[in-house]
Amino acid sequence: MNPSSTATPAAPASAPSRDAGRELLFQARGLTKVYPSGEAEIRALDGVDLDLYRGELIVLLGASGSGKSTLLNILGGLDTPTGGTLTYRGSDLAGANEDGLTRFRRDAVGFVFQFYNLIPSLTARENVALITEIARAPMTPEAALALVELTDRQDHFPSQLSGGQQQRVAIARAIAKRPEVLLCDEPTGALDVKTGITVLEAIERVNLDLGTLTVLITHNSVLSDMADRVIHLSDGVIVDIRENKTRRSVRSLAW
Amino acid sequence: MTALDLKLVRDIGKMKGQMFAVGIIMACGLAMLIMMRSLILSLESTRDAYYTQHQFADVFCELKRAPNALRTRLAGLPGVAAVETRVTGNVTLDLPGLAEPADGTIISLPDDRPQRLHTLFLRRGRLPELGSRNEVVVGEAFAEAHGFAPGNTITAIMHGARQTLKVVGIALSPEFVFEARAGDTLPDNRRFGVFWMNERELANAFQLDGAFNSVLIDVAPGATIPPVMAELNRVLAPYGGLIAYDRRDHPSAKRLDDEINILGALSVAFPTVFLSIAAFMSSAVLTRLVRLQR
Repeated sequence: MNPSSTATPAAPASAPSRDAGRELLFQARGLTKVYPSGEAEIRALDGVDLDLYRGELIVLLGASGSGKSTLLNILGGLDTPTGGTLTYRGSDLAGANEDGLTRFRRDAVGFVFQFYNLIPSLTARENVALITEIARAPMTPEAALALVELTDRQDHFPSQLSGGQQQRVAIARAIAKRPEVLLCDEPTGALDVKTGITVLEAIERVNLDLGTLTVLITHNSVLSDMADRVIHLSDGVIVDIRENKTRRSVRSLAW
Repeated sequence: MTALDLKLVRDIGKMKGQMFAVGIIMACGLAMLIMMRSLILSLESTRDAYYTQHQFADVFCELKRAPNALRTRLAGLPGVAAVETRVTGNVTLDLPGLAEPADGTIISLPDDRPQRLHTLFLRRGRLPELGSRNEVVVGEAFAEAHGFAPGNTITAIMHGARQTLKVVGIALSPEFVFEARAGDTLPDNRRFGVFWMNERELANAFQLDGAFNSVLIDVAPGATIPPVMAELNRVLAPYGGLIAYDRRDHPSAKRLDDEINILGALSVAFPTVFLSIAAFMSSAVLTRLVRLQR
């Protein structure tokens, strides 16, 4: 069953009870992504309807191959859909050219991936400075690192940091330009539980303090409770959307 | 300093060995380029200065025999700044220690007028005295190959007559920067020499009294060479004149120009090889670095 994305485009995966008065950032309708595979084709996304609002924390759940990363990449302007519409603040993203997508990524989106992709020859502060030097109205690298509680490690090189600390540097780097959207693709996938919690706390803090729309892909369903909404994907369609009346803090979760 | 600049400095610092190797290879290439271009510039300016200071001619022509009176007519040809007429011939040399006889070219030095073109640069000794007999100046390369010095004698057969020549000087000439027979690929200074002798005596030896068989022309500034050569060919045709030629076809000048041109090609080729290796090494190092950091 896909109540939000296929049969009822009038009832998209928005939060109808809470969307009044909130800033709509993304609006997707019939979003489709098809990859050719020889004579067959793979439908990574198959008609997704979705509204995402400023300040929300969304958890995307689903099995491998369900279309989570494809959806995240399209939302982040790293990929383009093959069908449907996608707007960001009313501007068309689905039909944007490469320059438009680059501007969108540069100005509006922060990415955090499973692997940290830090520059090994730069300290934590310098890694963040790579972004703040070219962003329009960034926070200082020190402020970004303070948000992820790494003030005391800002002059350390990646090789001198633990995995969790490196991931927090990656988060600081992603949010230093004050993006409206933070997209996290399994940011704790390479971390142990304890370290994962510190990283998720950093993401939670950024979401709450900066009001950043945060979309978090995870395989860990326990993390659902930290979200405003939990979206389940399967075979490229949204099969369930759950809205949490109250969010639980990461610290209170156990798995 | 921006973060990217810092990254560059630190990455280079971590690759000191590779960067040093690339730097050395680039330095070698650049040093070779600078060295060879400097050498070429130096050689060209030296050649030009040598040719200018010793009045190297612009046009040359050999002929069978023409009377000395023709010299005045040649000097009056359009575009001609200076004329030198002379007697040249081949000599066979009987030198101790050589299984086969050596040979050479003997050229006259004017004894009734100042020498206008191809003036000698005396390295040792003196020019033949007026009225002297059998005195010669020897080209330096041949003299050095045989250890000749002023005061030595050489046995030579000139126009069938055996003569003993007395070396009075060692000299260089702009027309024999390479002392080699016309057509020889490499100079053989033990078996070929150049000699200069007073004109009257040499003309007498070659039965060219009152005549000449070689003409040198200095073309006036602003004049072009082909018309002068054409006119020279026309005037000398009745006297058995061969085709006039300019510096581009002069054996020694052409050989010297070819050598400088070869240096010019090498000055591009060698640095290109070094810089290509440096570029290849830089590319390999940077590609690997980028791939690793991606």
